[in-house]
Amino acid sequence: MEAMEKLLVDKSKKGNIEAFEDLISGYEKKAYNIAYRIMGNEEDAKDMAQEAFIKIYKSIQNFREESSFSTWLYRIVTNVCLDELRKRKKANVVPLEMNIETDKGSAVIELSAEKETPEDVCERVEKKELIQNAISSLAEDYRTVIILRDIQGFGYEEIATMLNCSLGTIKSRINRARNLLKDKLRYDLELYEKKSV
Amino acid sequence: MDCEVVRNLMSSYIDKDINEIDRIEFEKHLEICPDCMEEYNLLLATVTYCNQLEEIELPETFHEDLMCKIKELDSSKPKKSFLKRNWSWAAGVAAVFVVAVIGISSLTGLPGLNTKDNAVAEESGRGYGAAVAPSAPAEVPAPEPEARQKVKLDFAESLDIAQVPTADKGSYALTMGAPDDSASQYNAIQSEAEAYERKIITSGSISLEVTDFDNKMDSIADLAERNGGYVESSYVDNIVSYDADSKDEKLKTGNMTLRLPAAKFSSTMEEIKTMGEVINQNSNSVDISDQYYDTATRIDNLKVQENRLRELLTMANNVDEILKIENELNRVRTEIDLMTTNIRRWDKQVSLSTLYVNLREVKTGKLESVNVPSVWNKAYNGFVGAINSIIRGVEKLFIFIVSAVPYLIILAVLTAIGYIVYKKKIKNNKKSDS
Repeated sequence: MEAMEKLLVDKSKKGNIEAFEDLISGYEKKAYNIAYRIMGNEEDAKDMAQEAFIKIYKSIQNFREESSFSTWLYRIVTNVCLDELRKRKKANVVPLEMNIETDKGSAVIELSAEKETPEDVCERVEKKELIQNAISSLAEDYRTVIILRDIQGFGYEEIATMLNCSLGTIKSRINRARNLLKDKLRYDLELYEKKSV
Repeated sequence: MDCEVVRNLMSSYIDKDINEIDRIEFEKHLEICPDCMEEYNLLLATVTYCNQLEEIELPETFHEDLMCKIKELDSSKPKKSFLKRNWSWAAGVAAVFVVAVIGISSLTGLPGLNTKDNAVAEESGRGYGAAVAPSAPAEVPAPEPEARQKVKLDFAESLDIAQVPTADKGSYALTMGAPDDSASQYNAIQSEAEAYERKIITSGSISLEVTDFDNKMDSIADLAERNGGYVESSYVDNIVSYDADSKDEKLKTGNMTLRLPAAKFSSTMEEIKTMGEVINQNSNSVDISDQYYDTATRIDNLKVQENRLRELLTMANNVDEILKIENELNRVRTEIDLMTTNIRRWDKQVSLSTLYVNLREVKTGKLESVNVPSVWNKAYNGFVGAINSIIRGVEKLFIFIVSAVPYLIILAVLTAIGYIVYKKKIKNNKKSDS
């Protein structure tokens, strides 16, 4: 860990809020993005990210400095999101994404608070949302490794620490997740490939 | 390499997490297998698209909202951080409390405040203790009766009414005094004493602790006899007593009643005092001079009357007169006899004083250890006692803590319930906000 960061961590452990603020401000964006990718929408992303940071604040005294601070931080963010997803699953929350078929290709309609206009629907059949929707439709374990590996770019080791799994598990999971995603996006990808070609 | 293996290696290949040999095989396979090639391209595209996903921006208020919530948290949980931050201070307070509890409970059991050692040491050091007066409370210096009796003894024989200087009656008051005053009183009394002798019945008691019981009894008896007295009665009791070490001992106690010539009374008493540890002593005198001399005078008068009557008898003529005189004589004679008996008794008492001696047997060893507890012994006992008190204090504290546990458990449960409810409320608030 960097010396500066270590100092901030020590101060935060003693209850220095200013130090904590400095410490986490560098990680807010990435944490928010991870949460967004896992949860699939910005509202939840904001809630989950903030909840994660609060959790970090509360338990920073227990941070044993075995891993780097960032790994520990992202681990908490990931777990907060996954816990929430599992909780919602148990409560049988209506899935926010639905796969539907349109003449433009399969698309994933996302339920959100606001009522969506047809224009919105069309717009969203863009590459970015396409992929995001495909990711959101994955099971959370696969979703997570895709996000961490291919979107956020974490290394295998880090991901293994964050998810508390062995390296081999992570590798096979990534493999499987990518293939699943590939299959989901197959037609759209082929569409795009054909388009660009 | 077959297609299945290749499919499994695709991800690793993309991540460049493949060993050299496999890599070559992999690439070779792709060249010859279009299906795998296509799959590989699709997979690569997927990964690439993922990589290209842009990060979305933080909502503007994200940071402020977060810090607000954190600051709320910080102010609303003062108890936890207070305790954690000031744990050293709190620990100090707790330590002081523990020490105070132990200290107070051990203070109440401080050694040296009322030990038997102290009490017994005091007792044995006593010069003369509280008087247990068998009779009148007046204390008289021991040599004084002796001084008195130096003046003529055999008054009973002489019918002379001795001179009675009235001043001497006043010196009776001087007889009330402490034994230590004996010397000065002796001189004062001697100067006033003339031919008139006071009739004083002296008695005393003395209580001794002795070690060599039987020998002491005998020597006291001998002493009495040597001094011209005798042992009127004696009584010995073997009693079982429990001394400080809770061992029962067979210790004797004895009582002797000595009759001693009044002149020897005080010297005998002094001698007996040297035979052991004096527990208490007492002597007193009763001055019967007044009634003695009154009686003596009456006797004289009666005798004169008797003589008169006898003369009358010789002059009596008839039986009647003789009878009357005889009666009168009888009466007088009877009275004389009565009074003489009194006088004689008093003489006996005055000449022989009574001394009650009480002996208590003790063991020599006990006497010495009781007499001399050294400073080091006391300190050591105090030290051991303090340690015992501290141990007792710790036990009490432990009992206190353990008996408080049920209350603490109830308190903890209530606190936990309250905390959970509080947390749920916060979460619900958050949800309703968003």
